[in-house]
Amino acid sequence: MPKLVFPVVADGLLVDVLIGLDSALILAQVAAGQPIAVPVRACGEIDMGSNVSAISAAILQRLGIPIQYQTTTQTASGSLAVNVARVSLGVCDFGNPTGPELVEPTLSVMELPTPLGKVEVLIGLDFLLGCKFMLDGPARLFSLES
Amino acid sequence: MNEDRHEVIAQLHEAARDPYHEQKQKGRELVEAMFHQVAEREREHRDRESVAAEQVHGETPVQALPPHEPLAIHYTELPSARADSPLASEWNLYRREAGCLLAEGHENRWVLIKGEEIIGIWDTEEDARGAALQKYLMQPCLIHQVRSREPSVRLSARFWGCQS
Repeated sequence: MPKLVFPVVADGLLVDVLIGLDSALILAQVAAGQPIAVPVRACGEIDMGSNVSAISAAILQRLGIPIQYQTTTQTASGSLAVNVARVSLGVCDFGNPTGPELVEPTLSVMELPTPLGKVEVLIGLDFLLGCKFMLDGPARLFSLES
Repeated sequence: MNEDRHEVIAQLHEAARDPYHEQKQKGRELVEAMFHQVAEREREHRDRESVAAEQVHGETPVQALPPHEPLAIHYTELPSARADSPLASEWNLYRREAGCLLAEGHENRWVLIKGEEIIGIWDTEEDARGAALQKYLMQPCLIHQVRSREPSVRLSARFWGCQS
């Protein structure tokens, strides 16, 4: 079973992430004879409090991924509309070139309303429920396994 | 001489550490014992309740619990889009038209909206997205399922820029 192991750091549960166009968009671009945008690397953070993953607007713009969906969420001040886009998302370890990569070829993600410093991707339960997530608190390690 | 001094210091540290560890261990045992007691009491309570429930329901048919409903809002309560959203006009048009679409029997179907126009309605998301990719490749447009109750996603404080 491919397994990725990361240290728990002061900033949280950080992982290396690759973001690209989703499979349907890639196929449509190929059919239209358009060049395919190369996936971009980013810093992701595990966020079990969200049931949907989120990506910074800057990454979506860099890849030219259009917003095509809206959804709603509840906040203390009422419900809000949030932008949603379709992407492909891969979690990997850039420090380990032979390590595996856990990939979701099509994932609906929220557009982050505000930048979160170096973190540009929040990995929510939608991604985590597709793999085995283990947190070893005393060893300050966590792992993701497909 | 130096070694003696080190040994004395080590002994003093150990002597000081022992009561601390002992105290900590005692505290832990106390908490664990309390938790164990409460958990036992809770289990007994549940056992008693289930026996009582069995006695009651043994004579009357058991009613199934209502199905779990995810968090959702009525279509009339849909919030307006953020002014800077690339889908502001599309989303606001959907909010205005949702009632009509539902009345026309389009519930659960997928609508494609571009600007101020409803482009089409399809039975599946794949069909609606296929049409969107064909007509508006790499352009924003709204693909949305027509629903009387709109599911709401759960987002953490981190999403809104708060430090965890």
